[in-house]
Amino acid sequence: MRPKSRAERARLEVLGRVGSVPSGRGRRLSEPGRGVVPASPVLVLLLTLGVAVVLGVLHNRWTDRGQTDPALAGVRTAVFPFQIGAARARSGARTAWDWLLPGKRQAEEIEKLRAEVARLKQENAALQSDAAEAARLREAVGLVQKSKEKPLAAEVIGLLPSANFDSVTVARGSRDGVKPGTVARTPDGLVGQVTEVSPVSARVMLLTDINSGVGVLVTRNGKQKGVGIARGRGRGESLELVYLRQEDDVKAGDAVVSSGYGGVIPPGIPVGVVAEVKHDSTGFLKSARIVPAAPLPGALREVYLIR
Amino acid sequence: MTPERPGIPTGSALLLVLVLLIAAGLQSVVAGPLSGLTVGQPDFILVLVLVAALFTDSGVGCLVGFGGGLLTASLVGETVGSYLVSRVLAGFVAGRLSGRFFQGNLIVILAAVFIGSVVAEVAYGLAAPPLRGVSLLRYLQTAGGNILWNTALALPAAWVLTRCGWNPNAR
Repeated sequence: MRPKSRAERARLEVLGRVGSVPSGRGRRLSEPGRGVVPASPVLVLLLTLGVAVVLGVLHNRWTDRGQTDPALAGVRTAVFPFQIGAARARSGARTAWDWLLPGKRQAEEIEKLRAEVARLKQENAALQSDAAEAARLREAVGLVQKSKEKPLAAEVIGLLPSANFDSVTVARGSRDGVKPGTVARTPDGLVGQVTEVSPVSARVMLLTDINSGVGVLVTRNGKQKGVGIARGRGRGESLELVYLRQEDDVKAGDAVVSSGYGGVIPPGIPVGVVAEVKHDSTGFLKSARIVPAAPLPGALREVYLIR
Repeated sequence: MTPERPGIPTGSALLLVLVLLIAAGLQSVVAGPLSGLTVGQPDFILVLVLVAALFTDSGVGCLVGFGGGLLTASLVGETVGSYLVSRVLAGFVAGRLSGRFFQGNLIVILAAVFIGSVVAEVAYGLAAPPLRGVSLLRYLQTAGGNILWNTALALPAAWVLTRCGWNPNAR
């Protein structure tokens, strides 16, 4: 077929010139003139769309049953070294930046850490006293202590890969005993839950994700003031505490901790602090805005997995 | 009329896989923190898919789109089918442009990534509609931000793929 327009002729000239370059760089996926994929593009489109839909349906089926999607687990394992490499490079860049810009920033950091150490010392002393008392009481009533595995430290190697979901990837997987449902926390509070695992990594859905909902208690001076569900509101947003009853005495500044009612998340893990209480238009319920206790999501570097 | 194009050497195909894996590493470390600074975030994998499709044809665009969708889905872990379908469609559309325009033109590269990103966002939005509690305005703002980020990364991605032997006009 002869080219019809001048532009088309020019384009074919360019392509023809390119085509004349000797192909001495190994086997080619297809011969010149046939395109790279010999089949009809529309056929390739339909086939790939079909496979995509089947994979999507299978993924949903597997995750609904709490199973690992083998296709995604394989891809995650392949991506893992690159994620680790990128995470280490980022960490190195951050260290270099801090080294290049010492002074005020470091002084602030030291001050913050000193305050943190003082707070932790105080908290540790109180906890040791409580633990000793609990052990004495347990012994008195003849209870055997439940065996508990130590929390597993996990480096965060992936942060918020999509604008639509709040999740992080951690460098611990099924071979470390991590399963879907495993709880992730920091010393400050609850971070989220593992939703998917591969042998080497796991995806943690953060509290701020729009799909996240955690049963919580509102407490003030150790007394329960309300029960509700802390829901995520998406990127960079605070949490929303819903299903509070109108008579619940909830105020700004109250602590919010996990209730443990679902049986998955242990009770008593700090979730956040009530920032604002809103009254429902129906007059039966009220809601509240919660500022998360854990640094979410950008500042996470390491989490503890409670298996 | 379909112009004659040379095939992609196997080495270049393997290099693309490597570049996509590196992009996945970057996506999981760089893209998220950037979203704290701006509206939306770049999708390094999608940009590479679109440019690779533009440099070849729509058939390859579908296959590379499928691979890119699989990588993105593995990072995100949600709405897997929607990511796959949207990336396949975007790769197909970007590949269709390759037969109609001169792929080496910088404006064509920018336009292809822009159009492909719009297709990916629309297809994804239709396949996995915004969930409860997400305002449509915010959703659209985020999608717009993603598209602009991707377009801004089009030329660096084209440079990388050209170095990997994917631009037929440079070979």
